[in-house]
Amino acid sequence: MPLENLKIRRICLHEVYKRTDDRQIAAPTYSSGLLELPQKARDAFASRVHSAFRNDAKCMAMSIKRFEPNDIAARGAAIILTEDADFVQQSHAFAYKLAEAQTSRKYPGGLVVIFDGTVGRDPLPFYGVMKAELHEGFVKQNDLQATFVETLFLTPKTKLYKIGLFIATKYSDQVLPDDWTATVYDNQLTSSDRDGSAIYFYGAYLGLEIPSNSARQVKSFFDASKEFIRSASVSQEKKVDLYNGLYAYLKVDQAGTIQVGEFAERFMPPELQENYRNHMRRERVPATVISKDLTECGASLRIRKLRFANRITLSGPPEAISDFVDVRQVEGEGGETWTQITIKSPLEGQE
Amino acid sequence: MTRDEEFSARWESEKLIYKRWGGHICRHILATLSSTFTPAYVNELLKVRVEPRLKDTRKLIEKAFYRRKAYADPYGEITDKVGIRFVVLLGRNIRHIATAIEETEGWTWSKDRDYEEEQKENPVTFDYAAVHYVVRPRNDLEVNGFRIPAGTPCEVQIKTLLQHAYSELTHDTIYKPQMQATPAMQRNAAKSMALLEATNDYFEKVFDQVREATKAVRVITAALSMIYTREIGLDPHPSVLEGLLLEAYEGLAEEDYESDIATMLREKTYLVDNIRDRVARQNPLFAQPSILLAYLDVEKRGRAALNRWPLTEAEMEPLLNDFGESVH
Repeated sequence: MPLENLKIRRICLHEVYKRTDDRQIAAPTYSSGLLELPQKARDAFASRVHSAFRNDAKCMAMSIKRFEPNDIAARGAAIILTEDADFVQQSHAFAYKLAEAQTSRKYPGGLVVIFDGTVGRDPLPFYGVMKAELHEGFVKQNDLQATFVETLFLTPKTKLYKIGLFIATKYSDQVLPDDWTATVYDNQLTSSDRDGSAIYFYGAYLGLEIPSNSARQVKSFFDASKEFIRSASVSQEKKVDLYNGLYAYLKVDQAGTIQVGEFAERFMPPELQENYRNHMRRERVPATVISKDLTECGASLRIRKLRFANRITLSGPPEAISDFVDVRQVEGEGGETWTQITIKSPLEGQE
Repeated sequence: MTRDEEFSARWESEKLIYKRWGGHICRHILATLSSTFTPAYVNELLKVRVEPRLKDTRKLIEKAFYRRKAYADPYGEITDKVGIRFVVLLGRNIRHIATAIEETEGWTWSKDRDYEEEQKENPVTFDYAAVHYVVRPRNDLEVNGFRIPAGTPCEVQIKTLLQHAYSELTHDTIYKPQMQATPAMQRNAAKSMALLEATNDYFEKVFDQVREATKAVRVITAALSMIYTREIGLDPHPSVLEGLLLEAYEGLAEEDYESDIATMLREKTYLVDNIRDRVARQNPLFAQPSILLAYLDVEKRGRAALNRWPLTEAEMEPLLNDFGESVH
């Protein structure tokens, strides 16, 4: 979900800590003013936000579940309307609420960054809530000595940050939740342990939930991908590989999410990737991360079929087809195209 | 007062007039060239700073009385009391400046040296080759509130860098002899002059070949510059970066690229604002006409456009960010 024409207006930074040993909240440290940065630094901050929501980034469209006055969704809708001084004041609550949501000592402290602005070709208001973890690094000094620091954050390669981005769907008088969209960037969203390391941020803290249409989206991902492979101008042998990849990606892979770009990069030759992305866009399959809810494609994922003339069919579990069946196109008598199938198993029975 | 003191006193009292006359000629020629061509071209054309130079008093007296020149009226007959040099790269560029002098209303001019004429007369001799004019105002002239009397002479030399080098070498030996040049010296000077003439011919050939080879990209830069000025509202400043970008993007400049760029900039007006912002922040990349082709590539291909970008990833980040993409 690339953020076209992103204009960041105000940024405010606070610090939260992990819980104390007796699991009490350690009071956050609040900043008393907006973050003032030179242009180059503002550009770098914007670049981090862009990298979180660019095509193929690990971000997921979410549903807004909680929007009572004390919830982030309502506080955010209010904070974008404030003057600068109030913006700082009201942003304190965002930090405290994160400290509350981090119920266990396993969640590290970090910086809470609240920012707002406009985005889009026809600019619409947005606000963002970021948690940036501090990490270690070295800072070069002029005499080629180095200082070791533990207070770095937002370095581009580490991805040690999570962002909830709320964008209005109309310019003013928005009503919650319908006039807002929410998208979450979190590198841990896609891990199989998603619920542990990501849910406290998007769920407990931001009040969001995985959209209920995930199952439908996974089904359309599956169908649109099959359609693309069927009509792709590659050899049948290559198509066997692509189908095997698709079944493996959906069924075998342990990750909790799927994504068009990720599938393209992992399973497709470079020359197909662009066409595939375009095809999926036309079929309205989102380019963002989709929660892997297989309930709507369960049955069709269970058996993989290869069909030939004269009603000959080879079928079996996708993992078995992928591991034990080798399909090769050969030239038969009279120049006909034949298929040579090797099954790495003795024939165990026939009727 | 002695003869020399009298001469010197007159020169001291009048030399500011000569300097102003020289300054006026410089400004006028540069303005004429700039309007005939472009200021940028003139900047390219002239290889040495153009400024009026007054003759040193001591040297002037030497020339007037001690070099067996037999002037009847040394002060009036010495025409290079103030001089200007126009130094160009190629022999063929000399005529640009010559034309500007000859076509100026209100000046009279005489050709003191004309190497083409001299070479016609002595086709087998290789000698110092340059064009020297003596330029005078036809009538009394007013320059910045000061009067320049009619007939005040100024010597204008037009030569190539190669000829300039040669004249530096032989400055005080052959043409202004305080000693006799030996035949061996003259022979070596003639040899180097012949070599310079041949070198100029090769320079011109190379120049033409380079021009021919870069014709296609120059046409693209010209077309992109027009779009840039029209859509961005600023003049582009193509530099060596333009060549670098075009080397990568030349292939994209086909069929409808001009209208594609115009459409992109009109649909996404914020791109225009962002380009202007970055030019205002002195980022030279965004003043290159062909940056528009890079934008077109990113619009079409997103991050995949990185593989064509000829500079660093960090330098592409702003373009990607404009479309919500990122290298990270």
